[in-house]
This record gives sequence, C-alpha cells and structure tokens, in this order.
Amino acid sequence: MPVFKTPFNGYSVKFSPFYENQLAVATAQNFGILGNGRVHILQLTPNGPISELAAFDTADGVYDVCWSEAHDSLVIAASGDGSVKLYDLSLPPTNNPIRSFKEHTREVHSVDYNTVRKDSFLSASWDDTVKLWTVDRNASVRTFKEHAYCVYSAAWNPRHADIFASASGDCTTRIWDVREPGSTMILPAHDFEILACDWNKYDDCIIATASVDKSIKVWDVRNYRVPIAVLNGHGYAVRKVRFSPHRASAMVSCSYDMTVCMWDYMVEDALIGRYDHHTEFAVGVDMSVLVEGLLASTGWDELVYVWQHGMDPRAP
Amino acid sequence: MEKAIERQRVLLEHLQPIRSFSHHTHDESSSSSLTLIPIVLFLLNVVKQPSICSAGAFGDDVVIVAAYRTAICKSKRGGFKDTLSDDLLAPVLKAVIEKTLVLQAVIEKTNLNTNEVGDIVVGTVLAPGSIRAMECRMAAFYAGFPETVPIRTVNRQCSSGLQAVADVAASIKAGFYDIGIGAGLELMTVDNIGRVQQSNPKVDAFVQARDCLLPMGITSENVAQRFGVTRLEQDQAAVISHQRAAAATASGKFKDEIIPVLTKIVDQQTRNEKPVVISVDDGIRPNTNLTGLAKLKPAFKSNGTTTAGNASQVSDGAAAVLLMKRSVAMQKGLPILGVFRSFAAVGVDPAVMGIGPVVAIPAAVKSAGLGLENIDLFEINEAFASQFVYCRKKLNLDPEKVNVNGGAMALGHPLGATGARCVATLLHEMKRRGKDCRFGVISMCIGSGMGAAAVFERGDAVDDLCNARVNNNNNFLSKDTK
Amino acid sequence: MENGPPQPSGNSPPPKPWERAGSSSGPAPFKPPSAGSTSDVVEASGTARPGEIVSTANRNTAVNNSTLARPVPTRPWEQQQTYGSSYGGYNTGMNYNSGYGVGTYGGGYGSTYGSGLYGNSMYRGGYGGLAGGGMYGGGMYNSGLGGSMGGYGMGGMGGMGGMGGMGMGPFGDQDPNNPYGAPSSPPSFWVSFMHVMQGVVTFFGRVAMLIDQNTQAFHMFMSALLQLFDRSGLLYGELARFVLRLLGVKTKPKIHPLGPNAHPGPNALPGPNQPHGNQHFIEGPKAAPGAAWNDVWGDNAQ
Repeated sequence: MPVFKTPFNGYSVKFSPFYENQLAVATAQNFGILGNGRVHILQLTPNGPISELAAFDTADGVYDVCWSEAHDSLVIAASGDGSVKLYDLSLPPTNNPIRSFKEHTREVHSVDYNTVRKDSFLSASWDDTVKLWTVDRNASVRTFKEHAYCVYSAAWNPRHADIFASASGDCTTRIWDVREPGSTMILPAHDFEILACDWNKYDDCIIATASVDKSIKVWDVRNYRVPIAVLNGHGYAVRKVRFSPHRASAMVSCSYDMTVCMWDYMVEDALIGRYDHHTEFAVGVDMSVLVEGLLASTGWDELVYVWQHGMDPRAP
Repeated sequence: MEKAIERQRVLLEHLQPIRSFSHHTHDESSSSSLTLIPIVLFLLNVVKQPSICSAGAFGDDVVIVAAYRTAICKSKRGGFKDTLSDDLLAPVLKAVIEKTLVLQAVIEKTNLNTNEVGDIVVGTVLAPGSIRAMECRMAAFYAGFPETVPIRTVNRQCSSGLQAVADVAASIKAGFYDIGIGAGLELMTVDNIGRVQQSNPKVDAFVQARDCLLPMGITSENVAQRFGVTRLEQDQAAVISHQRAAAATASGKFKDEIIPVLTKIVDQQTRNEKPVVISVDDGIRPNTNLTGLAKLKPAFKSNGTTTAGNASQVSDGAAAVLLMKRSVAMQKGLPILGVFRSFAAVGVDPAVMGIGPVVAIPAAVKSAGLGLENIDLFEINEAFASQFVYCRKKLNLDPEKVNVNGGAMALGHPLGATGARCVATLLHEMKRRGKDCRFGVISMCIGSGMGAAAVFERGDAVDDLCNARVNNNNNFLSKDTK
Repeated sequence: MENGPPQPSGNSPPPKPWERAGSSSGPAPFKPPSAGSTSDVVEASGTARPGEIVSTANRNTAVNNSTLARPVPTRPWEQQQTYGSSYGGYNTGMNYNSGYGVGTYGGGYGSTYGSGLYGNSMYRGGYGGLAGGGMYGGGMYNSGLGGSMGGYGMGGMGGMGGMGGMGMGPFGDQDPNNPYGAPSSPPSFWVSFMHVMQGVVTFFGRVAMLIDQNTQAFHMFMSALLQLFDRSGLLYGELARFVLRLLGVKTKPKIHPLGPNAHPGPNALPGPNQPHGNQHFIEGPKAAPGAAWNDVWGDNAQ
C-alpha cells in the first residue's frame, strides 16, 4: 500500500469526490505550532507510489482541507492564521490561492463542503464560531456563534442541505439549521472537549462525536439523552471520526494514541479493526466515497497512508 | 510567539484533559506530581519507549508486558549460595507485578490487582517435584499474591522456563484466563543433576531409551564428533560469549532486566551472615581468552573437546514474565514489551540432544508464518559450545544476531530459569534495538533429546517504509508565501 | 482574486453511495429543506449577517449555555500569561519547575541534559564527549545541524542533541529525506533555528513518547524552543542561563556527568537499577581471575 512522505506534519487528508485516485492533504510545519503550511494534492497510481499533482504553500499551518463538490479542481484549506483559502488545481501555483477569506480571528480547524446543495461550505474556528461561505462571495454568508470554546469541527448533514453539526471544546455538539438564528439542538455529548463529529450517511438522524475522553459516542438526535453506542478503545483523545460512505454502521476514527480504528457501532464488539501504522499522533483520516473500503490517514509522523480496509497499511 | 504557545496549549489539553478544567488546583497537582518523582525517574529507566504499541494488532494476541530476572550466580560459590529457592522466586514474581503496577499507577489510575492473575506457572527442573511446587506456592505468598491465585510447576528440562511462558500464553489463548505469569527457577547450589537410579533392564533393547541416560557432557561430545565441531570453534564461542556478556554488563544493558535481590551470604570462615543485594551476574569472566581455554582439560572424555570453559555454567537464578491478552493490556494502558507469536517443541535423537534448536527453530518460525530471514535476534541457549556452534552453523545464522549479550557459557544456565531468563534478555534487547528488530527467537536444546523454540515480536514493531520519497517540487511556492 | 470566481463547470461528482440507497430510518426532526441556493435560503430566513467578525471581546458566550453541565475550560490565551516576556514567568505562571524540571526530567534526562548542554556544548561548541556518550557527537550532526550554522545556535542545540545519548538513540536520524545534509549557504538565523528545532525534534524522535508521564515536559520543551527563537538576539551567557532555566535548574546546575546510577571508571559494573532505601550494595562475590573452571557440568553429570 502506498505511502507519501510530506515535509511537514500531516493534519488532514480527504479523498476527492470526483476522482478515485486523488486526495488532498493538509500539513503544518513543526506540529502546527509554528511555521508554514502546505496543501498537497496527491495522485494514486496503480501499483505505484503516490505522486504529487500539486502543492500550495501557505504562511501558516494548514489544519484541514476539503474538496469542492461543484468543481473537480477546487480545494478549500483551513489555515492557522484564521483564513480560509481556495485553491484551483487547474491554475499554476503562482495564481493560487484564488480566494483567501480572512474573517476568523483565530485558527480555522475544519472546513466541510455541503454535499447536498454543493454551493457552500463551513469553517469551524478556535474563535468559537462557525462560518458559512459560498465560493462566489467575498464575505461569509453567516456566522454561527454560540459555542463557548474552540469549535474543532463542523459537518454538513449528508441528506439535508440546511442542517449541520458542530463539535466544540465546550463539551457540546450543536446542531444548526442555517435558516434559524440559533442552534436547534445542543448535545452535551461528553464531559470533555469534543474534537470531531460526523453524520451517518444512511440515517440523517444519527451523529457520532469524538472526544478527549477517548471515547466515540453515537447519538440519535431524536433522543439525545442517551447515546446509542459508546465506543471505547482509543488510548488517548480521539481526533477525528468519519462515517463510511458505503456502510450504514461503519466508522473510522483516528486518535492521539497513534492508531486508526474501524468501528461498527451496531454490533457488540464495535471495534472491527485497528491500524497502528503511524508512529506519531494520527490526526487525519478519510474514507473514499468512490472506492469502498479505501482508507487514507495522515499524522504527525509526516506520512500519508492509503490502504484498503483489512490490509496492512505498511505492507509493500 | 504567543500564538504558538497558545496553540501548543490547546493541543496539550487534548492530551491532558484533566488539567484544562482544574487550573486552580495547580498547587495540589504539582505537589502530588512531586511525590511521583522517584517513580517517574524509575520509569524512565524501565520504559524507554512509549507505552502505546502493537503490530498487526488483534485484541486476543498474547502480549508480554513485563519480563524480569534475578542476576544469575554461580552455584555453591555465587551470590545466591545461601539463598532459599522461594526467596529467589518471590522477588521476580513480585517484580513483574509491582513494576507493572507502578507503571500503571502513573499511566492511568486503573489497577491491576494481584488477584487478577489467573495462574502462575513456574519452570523448574532439578528439585523434587512436589516439594518445589510447595516452595513455589510459598514464594507466591511471600511476593504478596492472595491465596486465590493458583500456581503450578512445569518441567521440560532445560526449556522449562520457556515452556512455562508458552503454557501461560496457550492458556490465555484458550480463554482460561486473561492474565498469567510464566516463571522459571533453579537453585543448582541445592539441587544436583541426578541420574536415573534404577534403570529398567529392557533399556538395552531400546537404543534411544538408553541414550537418554547419557550424561549431558557425553551428548555434547557426540555432537562435536558427529558434526565435526572443533575444539577451537568451541573455545572461540566461549570467548565471544564472555566478551559479550561482559560488555553488556559494563554498559548497563542488564539493568533493564535484572531485579536486585536482597539476600544474605554466609562467610565460609567466620560463619557470619551478611545482608547483600545481588544485582549483577557473577559468572562472567571478561578476561577469558583462547589461550586460557586451550589449557583446560576435557571434562567428559579424555580425548574430547568439551571442557569446563566451553560448557554452560552451573548456576542459580530465577525469572518471571507477565503475559496477558492484548485487549486487557490496552484497556489497562500497559506498555507492550513483546508479543508471543509461536512455540514449538520437537524431539531429536537423545544421543545428540544438543541439536534440538536446529529442528525447533524452523518449526516455531514457520508456525509464526515467518522465515528465518525475518528473524532479527536469537537467544539460543549455550548448553555446550559444541551444540551451540553446530546449531548456528547448521541454520546459517549471522553470529551478530545470536546471543548478542552473551549466553549460558558466560551467564550460567540455571536449568528451569533459563527459558524465562532468555525472554527477559531478548525482549529488552529488542526494545533497545527498536525498529531494526522486529522478530526474535528463543531456543534451547533439551536433555533426553528435544528442542524448543518460541518466536516473539517487539511490542511496538512498525514496518519499514517502502516507498517514501523525497519531494523535490520546489516550484510550487504559491504567491501566498511571499 | 485576479482570476475571478471559479466558474462552476457543469461537472458534479458521482452520486454518493448513500444517495443511491433509499432514505433514512424515520421522520427527521428537521424542517424540510428549502429550495434555492444556500445564500438565498439564508438571506430569505433573515439570519444572514455577511462578513461578521467575532472578536474575542464581543463573543457571545451567554447564549444557550443552560444545558452545559460543566464549566467550560479557560482558553489558553486568556489564562494568565507571564511567560514570553521574562524568564520569571516560567516558574510563577506555569509551575514548570516542579512539574518538569525536577519531576519528569530531573534524573532520567536532567542529569545528562545538564552536562551535555551546559558543560560541553554550550561552551565548547557542541562536541565534548563527556556526557552524552558515544552516540551524541555524530547523532547531533546527522540530525539536522548541517554544520553551517554559526555561533551559539549550534552550541546550544548541540546540547539538545545530547539527548540522543539518553536512550533514545535508535530514533536518532530517522528522517529518510534528511534535507539538511549539506546546506549551500549560511541560512539566516531564523532558518537555521528552525532547522535546529527540527533536528532536535527528530532527535526526540517521537514527541509522542512524552505524552504519558511527560505532557508537561512536552509543553515545556516546545515552549522552550519557541522562546529560544524569540530571544534569538540573546547574548552568549544569557542563552546559557536561559537553557539552564529550561532544564529546571534554577541557579546551580546539578551536574552529574554519568547519571545517578553510574559508577566511575570505564569498566565499572552497573549498580542495581532500583535502589531500595539505604541498603548497601555489593556486586556479589567474585572469583579471582583465572580461578579454576571447576564448577561445571563435570561435577555432577557423570
């Protein structure tokens, strides 16, 4: 399974929704604490190494990337300096970024593109807000400020164009309707900071939250007092969680314990796979929407792995 | 700059969440952390690698979280000459649990209780079976185990210690229990190698049964003769063994695995008892050389090649290994020192019992799904230089990978303890070697014609990168950076 | 913005697997989606507030917090910040001294640090072989110092390189790309320091190995490096003092060249690794060199 070495520490990896062999990686120098950042666009070659299609340097670390759902060459990056940048792969690096939205006052930690309406995206920032953007405007459409601490992640509902969820260090996950002034639901999901959330792709009422308390909890928003499932198994804070695009109950997560875990929250022994190929904090993970079971992960060990579930990511 | 520090603190709070909600209790936490200083200092010695580890991990893997031994001392004249067997076993039993506990107390607040240990298996050879079993049970009490924890002995001659570890691993695999201790103990000061007193007359009709009665030294001569191992080769192996053991001792390598034992020594003349702490192997002779060894007379046959210098030493010692299911270790946040991958015991001709490893190692390696070329480190017991050299040559092993810290010719061969001792030596050496060393093998020959071998994997083994490449694209500087 | 907004080229991604597969489990508690583009929908709802910038001052934290069961954490950047401007801040503000200097690193690393950093590297340019043991001279250079950085940048970090001698050797120079092998021109101070930092971090190999017992140490270590950049105009002796403070050594460096357990002399045998109280140690009786090889199998086996 191929590996790609990034010069900086990996922060996030995302598969292209258009091409099964493309992925975007966000990296930041010096563990994202100080220094530059770089967005890599990588291409998988059959039975060969991963090649780099393009790379964009930034003045501050890049913490997250997402692909546009409307345009196959558009990538959005979340930067540590509070800006959200748009890159067009079809243009030479010197013409990029084509946009740099600077509204957040602190680090932007996550970006997510609306997969239903395909015209807008969210950015979640350490300034406690989430902002809604469209690519054709120079300013944000709306700001969602309710969280009382860093917002680490925001995720669109995969079936509902107006609904998204946000995960914050204030120990809540909030569910928002872009048409409503405030959040429509508050899930006090964990007793510790929540670092990520994601919606089930096959049931728009199911949401998963990942927390510093090492657990992942799965919730039904219609009955949010008790989680449907509590997934224990990570040894440190869980950094990201993603539902499978292909299987209703499958999830993947990565953690500061340096492992990537596969879960099936419907079965009793929920942990169905553990990958410990990273030798540093595993902070980015994604599942391909086009190839079932294809996983990608990155971490502070400056490596990007792409592998098929069930295989050894390190196997030659 | 401020920003960088803040960023770093946000990340830090992900790792240390308690602190983020209790900044006002700073003082208390710092004072309690002060009390942990000795433990932490100690831990830094014990755990040089992160406690998060595993490879090809499955929850039901049997993993080793701790492996320790006593020093190995010459029988009758060494450090343990006046030590009782249970007093020798108790410290290592206690140590594997206690060190693990200390480890855990820091890592997480959960507790591994001694009563969670499902069984203790002790490899022991020479002592009378029932008496030794009793002594072991008593040692468990001395070590602080509650009455609910069972203990038994196992005897597969020289591989008893390894067999004990394998038995525990098998029981964990079988689901009998989740946590167990495999140990080994031998006090050759007290217990001598005996002979079968009354042999059955029909032994003469069964050549191989008769060969079982051969003194071990004669089997060594048989190996040397039958497979053409010269005296020089044997003496060279002995010199290397002593040199390596002396180097390992001098560089403090054995400190990782040796538990100091507080015991007493009786002065021969004055009969005065003196309390001592034994923490160093005392059979090693750093100045061993070929000239000196060449002067020694053959010990078993007048024209033989096996001498006191190129055979293993008669010693006292004990060792213990704490095994558990990987899922349990992960749940308890324990560091994983190694993974028990496979075990094999195979019979050979009793007349050349020393060739056991030649058969057992390939069997164990194969059942681990590996080839000999995958093995990065070997601990092959040096019962006699003749058989050791033969096994190494026959399997075509790189001498630089075999017994890198010396073997039984220098350290000694306390029969029942050797297998467990090798586990401690091998796994700590693998830990030191890190990524270069993923799989290790322990093997030994067994009196009456057998060989045993086991394959271990380093706890945090990670495959080497195969296609990481340098990224030379320097023309990608975007205008953003300017 | 020279290129104008990207033209949505009629392409759209393949349908999502979940779009092909029927609908959800039951009625969702969401208002049915509105038609139109997101910006139109938001504007129609009257909630749009384009380009709003939320500063920390007017952050609205009072909204809807009733369901919060616990107090939210203090923002790191809103906590008392005494570090960054002076050394004193380290001890008063963050309580480093107990958490780090004495506790975590004090013995295991600290002693070697102490000597490695201060005794040798600092003043002699990073080579001295007293403390770090064999691996540190070479290791330090492999790990990114490159050799072109002048002055105390090298010296100071050379000491850090000495950490390689502390049992982390195997992780030393593991960067397969090692881009710092032969720098062509002397880099600016900043760049060289970034290189140095990377080298040091590489030497630490696994930052993650610090996260168990040493979270505080990790923080401390990183802060220290950052601080070091900050004060890059420092005088020689100032830097030395600063590094000492990093180590948690307040005034007198606790120099202990060979670590707590080592005995002097090249051939000294190691002492016990876990002293119990004040017992006295001996190394077990020793046979005189050259004594007869008499205690072997021959005794019993015949």
